[in-house]
Amino acid sequence: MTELANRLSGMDFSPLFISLKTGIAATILAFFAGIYTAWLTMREKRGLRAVTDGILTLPMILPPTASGFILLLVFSTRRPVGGFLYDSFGIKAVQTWLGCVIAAFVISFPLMYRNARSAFEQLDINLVYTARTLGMSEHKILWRVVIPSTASGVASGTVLTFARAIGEYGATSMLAGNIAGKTGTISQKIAMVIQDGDYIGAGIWVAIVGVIAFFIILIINIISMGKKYDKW
Amino acid sequence: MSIKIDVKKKYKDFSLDASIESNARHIGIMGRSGSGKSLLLKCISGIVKPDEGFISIYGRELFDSRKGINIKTAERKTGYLFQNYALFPAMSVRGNIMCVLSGSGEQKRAEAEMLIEKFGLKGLEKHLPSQLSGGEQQRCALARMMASKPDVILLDEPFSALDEDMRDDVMRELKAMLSDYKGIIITVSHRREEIYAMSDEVITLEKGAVCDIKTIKDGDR
Repeated sequence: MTELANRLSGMDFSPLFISLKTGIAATILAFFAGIYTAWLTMREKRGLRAVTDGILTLPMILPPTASGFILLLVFSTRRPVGGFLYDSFGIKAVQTWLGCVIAAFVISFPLMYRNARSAFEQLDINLVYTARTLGMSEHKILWRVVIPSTASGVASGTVLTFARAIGEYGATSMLAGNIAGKTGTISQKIAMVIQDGDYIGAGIWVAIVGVIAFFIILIINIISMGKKYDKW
Repeated sequence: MSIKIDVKKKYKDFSLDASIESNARHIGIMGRSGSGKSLLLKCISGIVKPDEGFISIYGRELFDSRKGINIKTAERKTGYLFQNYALFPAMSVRGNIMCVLSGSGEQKRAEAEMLIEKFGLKGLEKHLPSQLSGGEQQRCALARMMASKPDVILLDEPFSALDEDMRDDVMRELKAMLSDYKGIIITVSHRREEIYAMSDEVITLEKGAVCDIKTIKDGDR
């Protein structure tokens, strides 16, 4: 117990803050990107929707390290896209916090997109048709009619996206690396301390992740129950 | 002519081929379920794009396949009352009306109040659609529709969601509320008595084609 207290008092909590910061930034990006792409695919014809959906969901199916490899190829400053971003705008994703956000965003985006799309598919299509006949713009229909009417589905998608983003490991380690205090997230910290044989350190971080995960599930449950809760 | 329609539309295994010219302001479209009534309304409002043909209302061309005209649904000024009224479930009665209005906040509030008063929704402004009766939902949908100032109103089976014993009262209410409306009202129903009560001219559709057009006199009602 004393050892645990000593460990806690001298612990560097930067992996927690980096993970939370990364999770929040990636979730904000995935929220808007997921909702807009779901909205756009809902307006596509069946065949095209199936192809678009396949491409957009790919990061969820691919091993995260494979996505990380592709991201590394794209954003490496020695490659055309990464080189252009660095030379023209000074933007560098490899081994930076931005890399953590990009990796978390790419991996968690399909969750937001698919949850938003599932919620949109449940919506009474006549609400959208009616809004159009009333002269509302497509943007207004999305934010004033569709999102409020599918709020619980979109909200649980957002929470799941955040959960996936803060837990991201494979793609993050490939793109952003594991630089303590800069790109070292909780997931990377756990892998590192286990490699060093520090099981108490790993246990502490697993407990922290466990508490966060429990609260995420709790929030999803509260959202999905909504006001309609019937006890059997 | 106030309305000129000649449209062809293949939809799944159904084919609509309807030609209508009318000077009447209150038009009824009658037909069995699956005769193409609702599909025709959807073509007029722009929800469904016809394969070919034209649609014009008061000389304004909404669709013409030969001229490449296809006005967006949002710009057609067609008010569409769906069978289930399609009220926005997360908005209150006032919210449903206000979201359609444009202008300053004060102008919108004043106009919404006027519509709430006119459509008998006083006291229900803060209610959600799920807290309203069928008749109240219909009045709210009509108030919202009038807020968009449509050139033509499309009523798709407007009484089908109501209990049998409420229908006559609601029909009378609806007629009274729309009595000062100057545009065209097209009512679609499979019930003869509803169509006769709401229309000056009745068009009968069968298997996607017009099979009869009849002018209604007071004695027919």
